[in-house]
Amino acid sequence: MIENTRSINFVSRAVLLLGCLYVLAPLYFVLTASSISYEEFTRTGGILPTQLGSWEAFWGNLELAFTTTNIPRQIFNSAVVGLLIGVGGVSFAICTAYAIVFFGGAVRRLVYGMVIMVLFVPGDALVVPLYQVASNIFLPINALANLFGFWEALFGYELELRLNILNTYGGMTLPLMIEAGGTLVFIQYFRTIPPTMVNAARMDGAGPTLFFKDMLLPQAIKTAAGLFIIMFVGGWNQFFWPLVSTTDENIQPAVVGLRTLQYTDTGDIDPNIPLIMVCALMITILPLIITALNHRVIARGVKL
Amino acid sequence: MGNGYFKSWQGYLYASPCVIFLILFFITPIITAFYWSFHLESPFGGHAQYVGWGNYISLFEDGEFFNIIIRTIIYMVIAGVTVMTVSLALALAADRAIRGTTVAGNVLLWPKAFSVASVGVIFVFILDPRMGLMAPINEIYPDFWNPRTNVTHAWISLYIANIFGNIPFNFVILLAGLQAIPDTLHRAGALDGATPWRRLWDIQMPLITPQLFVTSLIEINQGLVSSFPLIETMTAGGPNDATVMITYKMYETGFVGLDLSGAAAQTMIVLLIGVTIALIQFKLFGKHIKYER
Repeated sequence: MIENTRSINFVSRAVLLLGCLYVLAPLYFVLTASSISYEEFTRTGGILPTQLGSWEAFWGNLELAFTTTNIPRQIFNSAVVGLLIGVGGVSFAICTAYAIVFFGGAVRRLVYGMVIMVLFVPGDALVVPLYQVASNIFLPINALANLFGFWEALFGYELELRLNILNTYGGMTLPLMIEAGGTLVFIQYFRTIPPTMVNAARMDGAGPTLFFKDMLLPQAIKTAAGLFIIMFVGGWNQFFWPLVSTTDENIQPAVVGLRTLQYTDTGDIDPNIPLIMVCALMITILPLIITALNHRVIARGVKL
Repeated sequence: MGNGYFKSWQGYLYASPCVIFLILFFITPIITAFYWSFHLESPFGGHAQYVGWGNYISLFEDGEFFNIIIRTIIYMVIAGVTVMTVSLALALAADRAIRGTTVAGNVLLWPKAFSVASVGVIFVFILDPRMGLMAPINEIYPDFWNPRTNVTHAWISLYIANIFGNIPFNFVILLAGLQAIPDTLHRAGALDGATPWRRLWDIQMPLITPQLFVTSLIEINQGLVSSFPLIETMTAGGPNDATVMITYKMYETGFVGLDLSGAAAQTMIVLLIGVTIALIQFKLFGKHIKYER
């Protein structure tokens, strides 16, 4: 910095330290609470332990989580949901951005406008009508066909196609693959590609598909990987839509399972906090490792 | 807009996932919500019954729903301001490039790994009046801290959890903005005798207006909906329904009360609030942003 201001540096350091404490404290208490056995926890009056317990107690809680809760199975579901949302969202963003940046025609403006519209609408605001759509994916087709009795006049009956995607991985993930932010990232990126490159490809006879496959994708792979990591973690942590769209415990992601666990009344005076906290730790550990290792990628992705 | 290098039907092919997904999972839901907000489900099946503004009127008939809207807006503003203040302070500190900044920059991203619902589950335990950190004080002064019965305390615990979850996003964007400010400006300011405090207000703050704008837009709009997992895991709307916000109400009406029409009308109101706020922010901030660097 410019002047040698030790007082300001001191304040800055203090602020950063406080910020890190804010972030680390919950993690620390998750560790302390999950390394104490439930018996010990109730014996001390059911109060948050401030010091780390023992490995034995921790393994005990972990074993309890594996034997008595659905969380391990649901963590697998979280991984599936994260992967599907990651792959689907990145593909969605790349294809849409490609269509918007590299093609002429009226559809481009329409698609771009729709993407911007999605940005304006707060996510998860649409869960109620989305539930209607997911309970019958053919809803728009039926509605269109039956508008003004059109289908009935033609064929003598009302069109009534049905396909329910609630309680499936597809139902949980498809609506969340709409990735407007990621699309904007790719639009920005594709615009920096010099026109000469496209022209060179075209002169060599490459059509849109060849150009996309052989020239665009290899360049964009780094951006795509960054977006995938962010979307995987985001998908893993989805709560509202999975909570609404699934009732089957064997397909729910772990975060929803954690909330169920929290609400489960054991009949005891103290809820089994050590078990809940060890489950919270199991759910968070993978995204946490991914975040800590890829912090530059995530920071860059968030920035764009 | 783009360059339109290719003129071919294949453009439609690449646009088709977007178009299909948006029609299915964005436009149809909006139209569905619009439709049901003016219709009532017939109790014995059959077709929907048109009721005009009936669903909206019955929403606002008891003053409670209006209170919920006001409460939600207040929450959005306070949540946005608190998150951005904390993140800005952290970004300014990290911008001084002192030792340990890299580690701090990494650690401050960690909340991104937590699901908002997990954050709620963890914080409700830490802040629990009987089990949590405040328990020893509560032993001596009963009800010194009790989010279960005290409305203010319940709100404070929601804000604490909310700030935790939203630090990474705001911190990263504001820090990037601060680091993009050329050092020469600082030097020139210092040469003219501007103190660091003065430079903060006259150089740094004006130059990160775009970042402040973007983060405030997203942050405030997020507060509208992202409050749901926190309320669901921390207060369940209590004490005495005092922390019920509009998304939580929408969820209760739709999926607990099974009142599709009422929930649809609330969805329309959420959309209206969200879009209005976005537009207001564009009008307010749009002019004052200094884009040129």
